[in-house]
Amino acid sequence: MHEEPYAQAMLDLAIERANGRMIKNVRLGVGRFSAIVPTSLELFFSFLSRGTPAQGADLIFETIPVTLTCRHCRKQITLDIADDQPVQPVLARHLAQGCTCGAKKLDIIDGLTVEMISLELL
Amino acid sequence: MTVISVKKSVTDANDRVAQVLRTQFLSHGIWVLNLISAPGAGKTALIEKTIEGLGSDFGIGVIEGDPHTCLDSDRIHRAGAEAIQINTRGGCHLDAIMIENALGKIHLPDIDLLFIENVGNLLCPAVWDLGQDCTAVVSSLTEGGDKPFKYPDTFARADLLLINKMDLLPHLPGSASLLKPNALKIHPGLTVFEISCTNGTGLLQWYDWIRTKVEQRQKTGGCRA
Repeated sequence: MHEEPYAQAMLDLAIERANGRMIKNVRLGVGRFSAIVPTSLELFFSFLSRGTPAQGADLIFETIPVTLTCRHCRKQITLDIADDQPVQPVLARHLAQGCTCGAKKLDIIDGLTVEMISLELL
Repeated sequence: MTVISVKKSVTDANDRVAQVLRTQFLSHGIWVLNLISAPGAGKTALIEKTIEGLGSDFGIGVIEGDPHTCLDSDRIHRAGAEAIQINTRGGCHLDAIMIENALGKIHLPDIDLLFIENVGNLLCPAVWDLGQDCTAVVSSLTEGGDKPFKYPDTFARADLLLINKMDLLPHLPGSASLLKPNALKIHPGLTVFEISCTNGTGLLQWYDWIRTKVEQRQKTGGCRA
C-alpha cells in the first residue's frame, strides 16, 4: 500500500519525460534507507501503467547506499551494508561514534530517497 | 534505442508543487509546521494547546489530515482557530497537491502560523514535502522508546521531536525514557522538547520557540501591511 503513491508519481514523471514515446525500461536508484520495497513498487507500477506509454516497461533497480557527511570537516562516509542486513544498527553505530576528526554531528546526505536515473525509450 | 537521463526524485511532481507553496507561504509571512506521528501521540492536543497559548498573539491556521473523519478539525474549531479538513479516504499521508487545494479555503493574509497535521502514520508522511518550514515528529512516551529504531527514516528526516505525555513517565517502564537518547542516536541534530499536553510540562518553552520562529518569519518574509 505504502508504495502505490510512489509508483503513481514515478509513472507520471516517466510519461512526462518520455513525451509521447513508449517506454522500454525505467532505471531507479532506491535509497538503502528509503523504506521502499522494489517488488511492491513493481507490482503497483505494472497495474497502474496499463494503457499508458509505460505499459510493459521493466523497472531496473540500483541500490543507493547511505552516505553521511561530517558537519565539521565535511568528510563523507558511505555505509557498506549487505542487502539482507538492517541499516539501523550500522547507522546508529556510526552516528554514535561520530567522525574520525572527533566531531559528533553527522548528517545523512544520501540513501533516503528514490530517484529516477534514466529512461530507455522504444 | 534512446536513453534519456532524468536524475530526479520520483516525488519530483510533488516537490515542484511544494516549492510553489513554500514561496507562497513566504510571501504571506507564514511559518509552516508539518506534524507527523503515530495515531494517538497527541498532534491535535499539541495544536489545541498552542492555540490556547499563542492564539491571541498570532493568526493560527490548521490543515487537518485524516483518513475518514472531521473529528480533529472539529476540535480545532472549538479551540478557536481556522481548520480545513482533508480526508484521504484511506490514504496514508498528505501530499502537496492536497495542501494546494486546501489553501483555496484559507484566507492566507490572516495567518501567521500554519500547522499541517499529517495522517497518523510514522512511515510515509515524512517523504512528501508539503512546503513546510519545519517537520516535527510527535512521539508519546507510551509508544515505547524503541520507535526511533523502528521508523528511523522518519526520525532522520525530521527537524524537531516533541516527546508528549511526559506526565506518564513515573507509571511506565524504564525503557520509556530511552526515547530521547534513541532518537538522538538516529539524528543527533534533532531539536527535542519534552512536553505534556495534559499537565503543561514544557509547553512554555515550546511557545517561546514557536514565537521566535513566527516572529523571525514576519521580519524576513512577507508583504503584509
